[in-house]
Amino acid sequence: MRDGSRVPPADLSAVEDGRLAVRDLTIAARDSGGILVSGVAFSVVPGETVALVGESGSGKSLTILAMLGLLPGGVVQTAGDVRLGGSDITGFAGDSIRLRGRVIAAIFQDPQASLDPRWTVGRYLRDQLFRHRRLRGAAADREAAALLDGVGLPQPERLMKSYPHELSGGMAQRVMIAGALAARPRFLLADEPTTALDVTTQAQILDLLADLQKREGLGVLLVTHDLGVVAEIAHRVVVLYGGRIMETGDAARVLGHPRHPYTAALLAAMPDITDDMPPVAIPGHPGERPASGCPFHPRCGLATSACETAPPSLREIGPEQGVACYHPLPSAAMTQGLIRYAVG
Amino acid sequence: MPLVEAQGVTKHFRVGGSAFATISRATVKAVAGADLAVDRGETLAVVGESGCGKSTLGRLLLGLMPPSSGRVMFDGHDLAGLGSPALRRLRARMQLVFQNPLQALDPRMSVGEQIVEPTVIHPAAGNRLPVADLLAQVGLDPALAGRFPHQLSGGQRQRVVIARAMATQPDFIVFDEPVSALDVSVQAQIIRLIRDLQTARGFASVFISHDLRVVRHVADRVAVMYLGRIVEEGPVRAVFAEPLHPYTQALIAAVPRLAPGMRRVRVVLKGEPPNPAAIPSGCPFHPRCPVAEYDCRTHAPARVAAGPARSVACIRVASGSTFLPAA
Repeated sequence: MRDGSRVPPADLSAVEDGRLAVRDLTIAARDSGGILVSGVAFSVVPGETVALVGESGSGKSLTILAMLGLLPGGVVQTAGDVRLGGSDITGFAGDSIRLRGRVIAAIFQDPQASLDPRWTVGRYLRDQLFRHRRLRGAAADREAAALLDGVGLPQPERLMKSYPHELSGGMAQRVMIAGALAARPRFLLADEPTTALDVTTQAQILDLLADLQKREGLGVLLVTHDLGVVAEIAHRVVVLYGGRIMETGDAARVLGHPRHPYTAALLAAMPDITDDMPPVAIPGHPGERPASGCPFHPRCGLATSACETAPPSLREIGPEQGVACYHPLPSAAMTQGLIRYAVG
Repeated sequence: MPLVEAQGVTKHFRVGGSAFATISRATVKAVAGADLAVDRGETLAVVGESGCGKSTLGRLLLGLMPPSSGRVMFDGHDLAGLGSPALRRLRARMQLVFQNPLQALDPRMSVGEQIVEPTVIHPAAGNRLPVADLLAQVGLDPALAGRFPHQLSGGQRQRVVIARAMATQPDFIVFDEPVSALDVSVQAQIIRLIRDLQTARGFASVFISHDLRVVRHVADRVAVMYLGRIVEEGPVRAVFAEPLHPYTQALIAAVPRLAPGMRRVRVVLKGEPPNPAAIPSGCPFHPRCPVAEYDCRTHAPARVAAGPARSVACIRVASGSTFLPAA
């Protein structure tokens, strides 16, 4: 990967303008053959923030690892592809590695663990800039300082001489974001980027991601377990459970009027700081995997025998809203209509 | 008389340095003069960011470490003044539940053996409840008594840890981030369980958490810590509805909101979470405070009464000036 003789392709416009899409992604455990992710499909366009939401075992992290070609050894992708514009960039196909490196960048939950403890911030950024843009010397230093400035870190010259252990968690995550932007990517994949941070630092990093999405026209795919974070910055949301998409659509609409019983239950389980209503628990736990049917049926209050036999497919249920459920909740309009009817 | 009381408690740790003394050692002031009281049957939440000293304070309240100065009183006894037999008797009335249940449980002991262990250590404590009752009390099937921790889900493990804490029928429990490692849907189950046990058993507790959303639903009162100091204290609903200290305001403003259209009024905190080894002069919050005045750099404000059952350590509140963001 550190082959200095290869120059990145000059013309990426064909893929840079396109959307990043996952189609029918299916991932299985290598030894048991158990399906971990099943038929997941969604896309991200430059300039929007899409949130991938789920609890443990939902397949959210495996999905983005597959998009990055970084699936761990114990699992195998058995179907589906990852597409960038018109190109298939799944796994090691064709130009996948080079295209991904230029167009897609990623940050993860624990920035301190992602940075090499023996490298200064300056060395890390210069390495990224040389790898992706063949910058070196004073030009690389100038650009590195500009990147640090762009992620809201003051005194770039001093920071460039710092080692990871000298940084706070929030600073380290900003350095990771600066490094991710060195390649001038069109997409940023962020896996729980604020989970390890304090709440005031989380707010700063979410502001930064929203700002980059607007300022640079980045497409941001944010993996999170926190619906509050989704409400803060996502335009669209994909709700995963047990490796399947339960519901997808406009974030405000899905959070405001969930149609899938799981989305509604997850919202009710979130404690709210302004609400007197205590959170409502979902019985059981997300690790239970039924042998067949909808993955949520053992915990769902609306489940019928149909739910136990075959998983429902994702279908359009409203403007840009999709639900995989045999018993979707009534729409807001319908609920209001019913209330009007009932009240007279 | 409160059941548990901290009076001017401080805790300093010496950190860093090398065997050859080439690097000077620093003193971390983890807790710097904390005063608080917990009544019987009451839950006090202690909130703050990492490094604010909230976990250290919890351990001081349990007598698990001696304070550098100040006193911790439990039911009228100064914990530091007790000999070990007397301290052991009091310890049976206190329990600690912390974040990671897998670390708290012994992987080689069955669930049933673990939860009666406290009554083996403290044979005189309370009435001994049968294992089945202890399990049922935390919503677990008594048939799980023969299982081992690795055979349980995360939520079940945390229930086992709570069942064990209940075994001596304690008067006081410190919960240190008990739901932080759990999935949202399971977290709500444990919040419910803790609320139910508070009502049914009437123990007093200190609930340490970084998550204000959880605190809102389990605590009666809340103490907000910043760099080892309690900067604001009061009933949880009143403090969250109308925070007085600029730090409390910033902390609440940073909590992600679910309700559509409830975009938070930003109180943008500049700078990084503070370093307890380098506490600023004056009010420790002044370098990040959006409304700091000149005096805040030199004057460390004492916590003073501010409204019914509330107190706050900020000279702007004490002087009566208002800086609440427009509602």
